Amino acid sequence: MSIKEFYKQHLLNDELIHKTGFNPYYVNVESGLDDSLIIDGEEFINLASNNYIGIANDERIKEATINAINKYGLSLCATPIASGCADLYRNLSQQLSDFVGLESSIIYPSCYQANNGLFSAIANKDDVIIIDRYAHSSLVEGVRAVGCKIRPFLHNNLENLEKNLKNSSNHKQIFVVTESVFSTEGSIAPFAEIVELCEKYGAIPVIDDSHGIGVIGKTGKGILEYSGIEDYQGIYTASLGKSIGNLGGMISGKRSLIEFMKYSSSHLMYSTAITPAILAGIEKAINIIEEEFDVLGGRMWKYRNKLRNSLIESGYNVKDAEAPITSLVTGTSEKTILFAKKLYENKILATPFIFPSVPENQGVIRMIVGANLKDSTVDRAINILKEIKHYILNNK
Amino acid sequence: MEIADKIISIIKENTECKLAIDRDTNFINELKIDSFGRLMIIYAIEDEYSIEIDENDIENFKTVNQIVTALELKYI
Repeated sequence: MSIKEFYKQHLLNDELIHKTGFNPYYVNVESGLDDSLIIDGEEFINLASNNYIGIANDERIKEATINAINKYGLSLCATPIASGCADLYRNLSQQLSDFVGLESSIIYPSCYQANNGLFSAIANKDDVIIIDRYAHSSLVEGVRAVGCKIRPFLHNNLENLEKNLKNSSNHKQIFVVTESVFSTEGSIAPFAEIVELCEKYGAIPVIDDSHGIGVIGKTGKGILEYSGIEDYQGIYTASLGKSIGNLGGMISGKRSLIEFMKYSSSHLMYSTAITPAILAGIEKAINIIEEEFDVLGGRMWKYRNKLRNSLIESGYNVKDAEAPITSLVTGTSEKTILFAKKLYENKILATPFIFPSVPENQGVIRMIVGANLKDSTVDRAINILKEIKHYILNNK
Repeated sequence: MEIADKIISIIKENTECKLAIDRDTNFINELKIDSFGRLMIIYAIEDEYSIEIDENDIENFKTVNQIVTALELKYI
């Protein structure tokens, strides 16, 4: 193949962008996550970030981060297994473990990396991985890299999961992989029941709590608290870049497994360690959540209920959801992008999901109202959505 | 139940598809079933008939008829 042919083969299909006259992706953000968001010099109401409890721009976290930069500089310029493991790393690993109620943790530069790296360290070709068919790309890609049998099961469907478990007994290790909160629509996995099924069939549960940690559970500790699971025997992963308001990903579980992972997970061992400043920021964020979740979480749920109820009353088709995520059903990719454009023209930033991120013609626009927004901002967003509802309701 | 009816029922059950499916429905182009959906269908068929389908055959399955023909010729 010639160089010319190579580049011709790897061209972006931007037909939809031209057709709709709008590209909602890679917007040019010029501010932090305050009450408003500045995009290309203009103020927007931000319903797009995963800043659930609104702490991403918290002054105390910024101060902790700056202090760490002053002490450690920007990077230790090494992998954690070499000399990249700051004392902050050990302290935060334990703090995160205690927070979610597990024995031990490791911290990766991202949760995508954690999920990608997990399975190559613990699974083999003769195993089977049973995975919710709507699981995140990071889990799917991680599972695919193993080269073992993959059995997807119907989303949050216990009967279908059990059928798959029954037919997997001839494999050496059986893993059941799912997410706590499915972020496109806001459904929550029946995880206590999934864990029970795993116990019944000798499978190892793996839960990705990226949209659950700092969000669900009475004190914001995530899916294990939410589901009332004590003495969890499985594997837990989570992003530290959503409600925790920072960057990185964690894998937690039994101490023996985490010790094994420290010396066998290439995604951890051979990546430059997450920087001390990030670790200090996460440590502060966890302290804030432990002390203030009742207030921050209360505001998050209040805004979620306000937006959700108003949209349903206005006639919008809103996805069923248990989590503080409100997704409008918009249909085809074109209709989805056109409604995102309408929102953008009205200075609201929300997240459109189109095929292949969702099944064909099942596009949605996701809205997350961070607790950092003012009451008046949420009211303004609701009023705008009411004003433009005819646009989506007539566009069927 | 005829094999074709059984396969249609498996496809519907494993993809939660509400569209009409007949022997010639192309489940990639018409039903937009993704790679995970295809895996779910194949494993459900394997479980149903206690067989193991060759990966090379799976690549060629695009309609119910193609699956039925392969099952009858090679697997059951």
